[in-house]
Amino acid sequence: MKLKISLLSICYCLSLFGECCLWHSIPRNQLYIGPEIYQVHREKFHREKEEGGAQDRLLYGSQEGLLYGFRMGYDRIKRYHYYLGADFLYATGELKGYDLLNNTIKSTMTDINLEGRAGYTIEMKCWWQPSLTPFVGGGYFWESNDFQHPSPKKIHFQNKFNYVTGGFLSRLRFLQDWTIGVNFKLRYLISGKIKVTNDPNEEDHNQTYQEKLQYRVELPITNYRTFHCYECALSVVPFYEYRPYGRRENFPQNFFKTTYNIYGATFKFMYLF
Amino acid sequence: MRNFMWAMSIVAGIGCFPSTMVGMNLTLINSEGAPIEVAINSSDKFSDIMTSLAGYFGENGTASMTMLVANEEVMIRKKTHYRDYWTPVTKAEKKELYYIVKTLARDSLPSIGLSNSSLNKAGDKIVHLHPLNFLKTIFEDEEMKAYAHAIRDRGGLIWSGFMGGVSKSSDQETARNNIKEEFIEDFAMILKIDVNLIIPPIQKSNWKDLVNVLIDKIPRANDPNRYDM
Repeated sequence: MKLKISLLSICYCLSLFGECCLWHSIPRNQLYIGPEIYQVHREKFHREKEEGGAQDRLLYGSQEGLLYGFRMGYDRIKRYHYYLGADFLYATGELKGYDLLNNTIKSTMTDINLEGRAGYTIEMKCWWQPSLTPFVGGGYFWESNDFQHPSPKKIHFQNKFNYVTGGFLSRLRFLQDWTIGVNFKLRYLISGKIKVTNDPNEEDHNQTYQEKLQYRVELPITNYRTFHCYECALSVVPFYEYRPYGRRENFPQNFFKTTYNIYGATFKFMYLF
Repeated sequence: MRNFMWAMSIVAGIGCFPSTMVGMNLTLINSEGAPIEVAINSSDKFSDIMTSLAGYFGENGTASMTMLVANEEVMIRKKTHYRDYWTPVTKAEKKELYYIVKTLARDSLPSIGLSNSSLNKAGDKIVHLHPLNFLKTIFEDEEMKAYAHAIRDRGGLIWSGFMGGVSKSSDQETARNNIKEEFIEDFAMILKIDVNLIIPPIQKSNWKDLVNVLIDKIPRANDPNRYDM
């Protein structure tokens, strides 16, 4: 009996795989736009030497809030062909929390990101048509955090950096109209600088920080549809992003170690051609 | 005063004279305020003039002189086989030092890699500075002091590269017996640091420890930790 069930399962799978080979291919060009919403957890650390104390004291502050905006972009993904991709993100929102001295702080945070990528796609024609697209690229990130009432210091920080990126996109067509994947991206920051403005005690100046590797993991789930003869898709892309900036002594003011843990999702409306 | 600095000012502005002029007088004013007349013919080459000036100052036992040309300071040093602690650092040298320290402290690694040749050129321009003078210039300046902290924090090639330069010149001057007690006392007095903290690493020629002591023990003038949000 068990043997029969196993054989039948294998036969079913084989027939399914055979059918997968008959599925028409997904159009290569994808143009998309959609809302992106994410929860930001920003943490700040400072190790302070206690006077007369044998050990250092670790000061900690954090902020949380929801950022919302949109992401638009283009991807060209074709089996055994070069890959091209670009996207643009704009998101803004309010962060609330407390500083290293436990004062309540509030700020408006804005993220703007422009990125371009190039790579190559490897894809199987049969089974669930798994595909892997390793890529490299570069981009520019503009991240501002403007502190406001009731923060004790209403200083504005504009962090701008160029970066090179590398990673991969992947896709598994588990049903004819559905794909699932894992995307991974590493960012290597090239020239990070924070412009500090609105400080009544200091002139406007630039801070630098220790550039650290940042990464982002996405799990896109996409449903392909035909709408009035146009091929379209709807995609939900839950993601996690880690953005650390290392401590550095600066003049006139130091930069403390800061990390961002970001969880969110992008909803993409895709036009395929 | 050990070193004898000459201030030389061109009383007659060179730029005001037509190119057809046959010659001019240059008035040098020494550090005691006494004028010295130097006649320059139109056929004289700049290098000839400088050679004769260097000869003059050499005969008078000067270590260096400062020349002011069109409001720009030019340092002409008498060649010595050692680095003179008492020779003050000029504005131009301080500018080169600031460029090196700032670049190492703030620029990204790829950017430092691209700036390598200009960093080397700037290094060549200050290679004659006495190591204690070099460190004194850094730790006297609030901004460069912060950059010294940043260079140490960055570690790796940046810190070892910086310390490599300091160690090389310090070892050379130690071999020449040119890191004297009077220099160390003056150095400690100017930087307001306990001389007993810096004598042991200097005696052991442990230059990394010396710079670590300077970074750890010379406080920054203002609280640099205001951005705590």
